[in-house]
Amino acid sequence: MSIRQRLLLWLLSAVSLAIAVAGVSVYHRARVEANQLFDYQLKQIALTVQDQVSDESNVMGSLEEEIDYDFVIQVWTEAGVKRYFSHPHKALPPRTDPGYQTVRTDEGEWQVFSMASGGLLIQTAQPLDIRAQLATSLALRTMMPALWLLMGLAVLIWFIVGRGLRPLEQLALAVRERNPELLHPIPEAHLPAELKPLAMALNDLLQRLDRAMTTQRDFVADAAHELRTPLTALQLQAQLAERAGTDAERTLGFSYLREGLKRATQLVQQLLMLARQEAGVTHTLLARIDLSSLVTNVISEHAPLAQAKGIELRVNAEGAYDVRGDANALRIMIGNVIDNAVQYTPQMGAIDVVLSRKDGRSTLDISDTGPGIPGEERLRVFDRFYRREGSAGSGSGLGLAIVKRIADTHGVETLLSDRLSGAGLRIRFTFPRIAS
Amino acid sequence: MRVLLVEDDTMIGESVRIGLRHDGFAVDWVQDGKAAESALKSESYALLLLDLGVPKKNGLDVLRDLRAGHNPISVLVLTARDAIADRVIGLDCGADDYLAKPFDLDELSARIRALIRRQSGRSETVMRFAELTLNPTTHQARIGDKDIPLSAKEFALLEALIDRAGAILSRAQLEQRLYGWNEEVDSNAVEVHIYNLRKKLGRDLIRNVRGIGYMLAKS
Repeated sequence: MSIRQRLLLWLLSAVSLAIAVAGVSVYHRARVEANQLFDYQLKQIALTVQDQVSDESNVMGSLEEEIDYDFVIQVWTEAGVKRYFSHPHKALPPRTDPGYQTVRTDEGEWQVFSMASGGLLIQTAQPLDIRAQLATSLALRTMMPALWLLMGLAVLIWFIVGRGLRPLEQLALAVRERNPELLHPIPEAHLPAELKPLAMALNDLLQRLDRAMTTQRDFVADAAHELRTPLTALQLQAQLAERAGTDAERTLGFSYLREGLKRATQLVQQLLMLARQEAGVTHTLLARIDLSSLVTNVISEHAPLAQAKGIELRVNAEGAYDVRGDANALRIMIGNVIDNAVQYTPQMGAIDVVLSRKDGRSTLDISDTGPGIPGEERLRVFDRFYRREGSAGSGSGLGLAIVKRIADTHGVETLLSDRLSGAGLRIRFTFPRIAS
Repeated sequence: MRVLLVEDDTMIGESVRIGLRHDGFAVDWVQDGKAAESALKSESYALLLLDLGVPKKNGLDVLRDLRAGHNPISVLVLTARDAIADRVIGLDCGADDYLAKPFDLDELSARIRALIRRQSGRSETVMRFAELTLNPTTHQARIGDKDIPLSAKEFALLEALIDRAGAILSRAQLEQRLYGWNEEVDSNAVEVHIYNLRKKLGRDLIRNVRGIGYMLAKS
């Protein structure tokens, strides 16, 4: 049901109730006054009858004509002999005590007035429902204009509420005009106070959406740009393999092609990984993870490669270091850093992985004996597709961006610095304190 | 024809070098802007293949400085940036042509040939000298109606001679046009190619000017 219909219904119900209450009170007031009036009348008729009967003149007929209400007049002598009966009502009791009385009969309730005077017993009676009818008709007549008013009011309410709701329609229109390409804020200045919080909340959402869309668009543009390089290489390599005149050339051509494919595949995989991380892992952040065994696990995966390069992998990860997070994401984060360390550490170098606790927070240090990263570049290396000038290898420039992204979603602080002793890079992850 | 390739990506650089060498070009390959400038200073090239996104000094700056120094070398820009604005900037900075990545090796060769042809003032795709016609696109050499099968190096040598018909080219000049840096050159390689060419084309077409070099001569 629309707000308009609902308001109309409720307002009309309230007004109807008010009219009904007024009607009932008018009815009651009218009943009281009718009672007083008719009681007085009963008495007056009885007195008139007494006068006429005692005058011995017989003008009862004319009296009866005067009274067109449903009156019954009964006159008895003291001995109980019926002197006069206006019209017989079997249901009425023969004689009652003097004064007013309400008598229940087969024909409903009657109000009876009786008096003794001059050897006669005079009794006047009238059915009560006449009074009820009178009160009802009075109440209805009083309330009739109010009912007409009610109908007019309904039409008025319909239009007024519609007018009152117009800002809401305009707000809806403004929201409908927005689309992923057009997410500018909704003007709040002319909105009524009730809609301002809604518009503000919407604007906040629009702003966040706009930022997310821009990030995503930049990401796609960057990705498309970055894909060109491996694709260009692939196309050229394929053409070379195609053109090869001798078996040796062909073998060489295909080995180049395979290298190119490997690089393109790696880039696509990392793009997907990053996109997945950008989409957020917050819903899986609740799991409790034993960092020590996770680190040991990742190291053992990278050990063969390090060994092949003659790099010494020293690990100090014993103890209980529990963190909260997504085990898969953290494995990628640590794995990427160790990957880089293995790639940039020269032969016979060393990589140290140390877990420790500082102020109740788990800290993971990974240091290598590679060339290190100069201070001014330490922030930029986390940018997507940032490749250090003159860096060896054909990395995608996404590895550290993925690391940073995962660290951020886990509330992990990342710090790059020089190795404590000698040349090399140290990357420190400080995990948030967890409630036990 | 000797060209300088400036491309930082190892895979692309390697492939372009191999592919172009296959098409008879001598290719020198550098991976950054500074190295490109020093190569341009020390050697003479028929054409510069320039990737804009190279380290140390970006391609646009290399191009701007080149034109500021009145170097007329033909420049073919290779780049991953293919928005129209980027192309306009590239061409306005003095590029002669523009090829967006990913590109086709055949198209690259064709564009290089077209640029070189335009540079030497020819509009025809074939080169002529007396009865001899060379088609750099198809690598066909003909004397009259007769096809002469030539190796890539032989064709390149003949192309160099016909390109500057009437002038005498020294052995060193010919070597420079025929071989890139990384190619091993035998001390008598040019003589061997000349010997083979004379066998295929007849003795009189290439004349040896003793102590100076070689030239084409009308019989």
